[in-house]
Amino acid sequence: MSKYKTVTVISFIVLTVMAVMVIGAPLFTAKDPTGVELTKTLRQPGQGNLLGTDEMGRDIWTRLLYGGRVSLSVGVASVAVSTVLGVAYGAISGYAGGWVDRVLMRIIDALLCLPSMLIMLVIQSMTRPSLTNVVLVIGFTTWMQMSRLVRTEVLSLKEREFVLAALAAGTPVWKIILRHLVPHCSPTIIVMATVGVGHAILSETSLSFLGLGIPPHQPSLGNMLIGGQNQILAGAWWIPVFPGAMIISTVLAITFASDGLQHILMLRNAGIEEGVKKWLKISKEAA
Amino acid sequence: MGRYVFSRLTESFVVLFIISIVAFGLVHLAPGDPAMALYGDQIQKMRPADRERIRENLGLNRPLPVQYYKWISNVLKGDMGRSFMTGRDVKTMLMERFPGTLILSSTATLIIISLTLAIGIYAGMRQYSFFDYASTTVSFILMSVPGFWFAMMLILVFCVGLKWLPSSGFTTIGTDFSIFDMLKHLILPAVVLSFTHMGYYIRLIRGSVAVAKEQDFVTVLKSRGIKNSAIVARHIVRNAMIPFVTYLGVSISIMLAGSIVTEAIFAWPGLGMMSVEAANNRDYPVLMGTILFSGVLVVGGSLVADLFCA
Amino acid sequence: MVKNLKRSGLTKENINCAPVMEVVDLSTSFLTAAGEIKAVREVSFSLFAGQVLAVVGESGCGKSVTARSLLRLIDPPGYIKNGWVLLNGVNLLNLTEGEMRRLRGTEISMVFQDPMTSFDPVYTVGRQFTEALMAHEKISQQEAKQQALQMLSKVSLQDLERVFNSYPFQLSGGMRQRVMIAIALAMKPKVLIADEPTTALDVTVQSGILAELKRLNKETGSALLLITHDLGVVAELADRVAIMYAGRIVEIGSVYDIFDHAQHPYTRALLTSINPIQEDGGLTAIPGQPPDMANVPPGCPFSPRCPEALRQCRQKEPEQYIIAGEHWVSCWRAESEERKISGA
Repeated sequence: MSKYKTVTVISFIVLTVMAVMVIGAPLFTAKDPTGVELTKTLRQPGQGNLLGTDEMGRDIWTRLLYGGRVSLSVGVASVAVSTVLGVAYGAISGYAGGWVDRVLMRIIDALLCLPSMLIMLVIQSMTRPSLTNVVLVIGFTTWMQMSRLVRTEVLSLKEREFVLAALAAGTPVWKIILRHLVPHCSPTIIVMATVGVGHAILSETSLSFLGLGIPPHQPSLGNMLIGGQNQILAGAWWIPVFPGAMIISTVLAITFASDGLQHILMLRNAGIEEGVKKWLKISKEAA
Repeated sequence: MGRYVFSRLTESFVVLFIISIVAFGLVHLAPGDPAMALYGDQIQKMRPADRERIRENLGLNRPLPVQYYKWISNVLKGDMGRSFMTGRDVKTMLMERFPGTLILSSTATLIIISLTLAIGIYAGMRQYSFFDYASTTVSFILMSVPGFWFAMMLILVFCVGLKWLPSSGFTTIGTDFSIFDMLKHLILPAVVLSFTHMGYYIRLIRGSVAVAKEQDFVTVLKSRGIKNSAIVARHIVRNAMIPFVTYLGVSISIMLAGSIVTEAIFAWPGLGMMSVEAANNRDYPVLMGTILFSGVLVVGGSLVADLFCA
Repeated sequence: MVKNLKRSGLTKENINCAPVMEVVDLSTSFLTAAGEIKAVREVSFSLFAGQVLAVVGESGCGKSVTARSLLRLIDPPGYIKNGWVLLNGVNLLNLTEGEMRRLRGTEISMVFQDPMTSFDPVYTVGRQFTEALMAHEKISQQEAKQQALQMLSKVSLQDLERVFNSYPFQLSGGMRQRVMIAIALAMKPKVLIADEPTTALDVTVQSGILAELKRLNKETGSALLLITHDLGVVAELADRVAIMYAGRIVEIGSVYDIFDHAQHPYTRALLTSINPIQEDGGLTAIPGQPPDMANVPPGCPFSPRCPEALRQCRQKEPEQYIIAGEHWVSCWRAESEERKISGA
């Protein structure tokens, strides 16, 4: 247990440092992230530009900080959207039970069958790229897993004495869900949300890389990698390497943190247990 | 068994129905309508009468359920409409591009299955050993690497540095098709697609092997004098495979999502590259067709996986 | 209860007959972060052909670990520290893993507590039966099936083909346990270990399974080591009884010795705790808790709960004293020079 705590604490320290750096970006760089300097294009790291410059002469270190700010906020904000959506949907489905639950869960099954990236592409292609849109699109396409887990927990929680007692005392249903059921699911919600931030950052960078995410004039970790291929082929390795390293270290820290949290909050092998339960269900039906 | 197959089939049809509604709804309920999307900002400059005419041509002035009914009955007849961009039949386009995605994702799946089974079983049997921690760390790193960035790094090393492999396309342009040439083009996309998805599988197998080996029946089998190797191969791995196979079915959708970016970066002519092009051009018939087609693939895949398990 | 006891007891015959298995000074420990846990400490007993030795104690007293130690089924961090497990004069603890494996199932078998989790859910019970047979004999699948069906008929199962082709979850708990017993006895082992064989079953099925075990034990002439916490089961089935507490056998003797002439205060407490109405024999009636095995108090481990504890009980662990014949006890109250078992 203590091992997981150490890993989790280290991960959170790393994440805090990153958060401080991107939030306080102006403190760590004097340059303008969108400042084009055509006299200083494609400079190697060092020489007055810590991590070099891109093909427009923009300082990569500066763009990394401001881009990280955008990408991290997209990660957190879209998870906020998907968490609210997923928890509400899951709690309602689990609490209602019966045919409502069955219908709602079939809808989730269907949505999970669709490649999320494809749906994001489609929605992004129809709307104008903007930060808010990216947040909403990622939020609206990634809430299903959370919803399923919350639903499973609510399903078992709602039979527990404290819920029955609250019902008997005449507490309204929405209050029971909000005050009693959801707080009991918080370990699951916290772990899933942490995992989700990592996924959301990866989604944002992929979308932006494909030109369908954050508008190109705004720096984001994904935007910085647009055209990275050509720059690599042209030998300017530092342009894609640093944003990539930033993405990996952020997501890696989040992954370790969520894994640690999962162990600490005693949710070990939740996914596997689900698989095993599904198998048991199948084998029983098969008989 | 028969009843199970039947109920699983019905379930799949329900899911497909919902998917078709989603595919339809996404395009028709999104802000702005397809007409607006098709002509972009130009539609603002059109006269209202022209706008109305376009809407009528596209059948957009009728109520949504009617439009859906028309669309879905056409789809069931095999008519998925024509591309806004090229005017070509969507079904033909899908069929043209599907082999590319099939080759890429099945190669990646083969790599995933062989590597992750070996690593996952070994790590699960030696839980908390050095190898186990190493494989966990590697899986986490693989989970955290954006596919397109990994692709760039591979290009940097193998195409720019070592000059061993081509960086894009299906075959070398201007040469006759040869399997060897195609395989050379396939290596990097397949490696990117498999490695960026491997982490989950390693964790999954490792976890289920670790759970399976702690089951009571393992001790019981030992008490009957059955060889350790047989217990691992016949019982532990077999039990651990169940969630893995189930997940393989579900993960078709994850593979398709992953192949979008991979195909785009390596210009690999598959469904993924086609959907990126379609998205950039707001080519709705193609996008709807791709969504529906992916849905069929995924639903079919998980159906096969589940029936295989049962 | 006393009525049941009449038929048991050691006869001269049994004593003279050489034991099938002899366990001497067996100790098994677990190395944990909290230190060494001595789960089994210097346990000694003998098993005789056709006889039942019941090992009784509260959960956590080391009776299951003892059973598994005999088959060498202790997984790390546990290990068998020392002792002898003699089967036909061969010390099992000196065998290689391969030699030991060949004895499992053929010479010593085991029936486990929970018949649900004791079967691999993805294979039919028949497949698991033939697998066990084919691990030891060079026979075809067909021959193995014939043997299996024959054995299944001996444990009072009907509709053998259906049972054979069933998955574990398709059978009831009682049926599963019968299959389990059939597999365990298929190779005619000399020693059968039954670890709480009825605890996980419905009360209505329990007596049937016990009767089956008793009958087969007499028929095959194997020695049965029965692990249980249920003194009712003991009275019904056992020839001899060993009482375990905190990893040690504190008293051992014929079922008659134990039920009518119990010497150890713990044994007596166990016996009085069986309420005639409460047939499952609630052992919680003894005041106090069993000791924390990572931190066993000095002296006799039972002394903190013992109503008759002397001062020396809390200082020094008692030696073993013979009461009569094969009946001995480990208690200072029974101290006397001539009764002392040397070297114990």
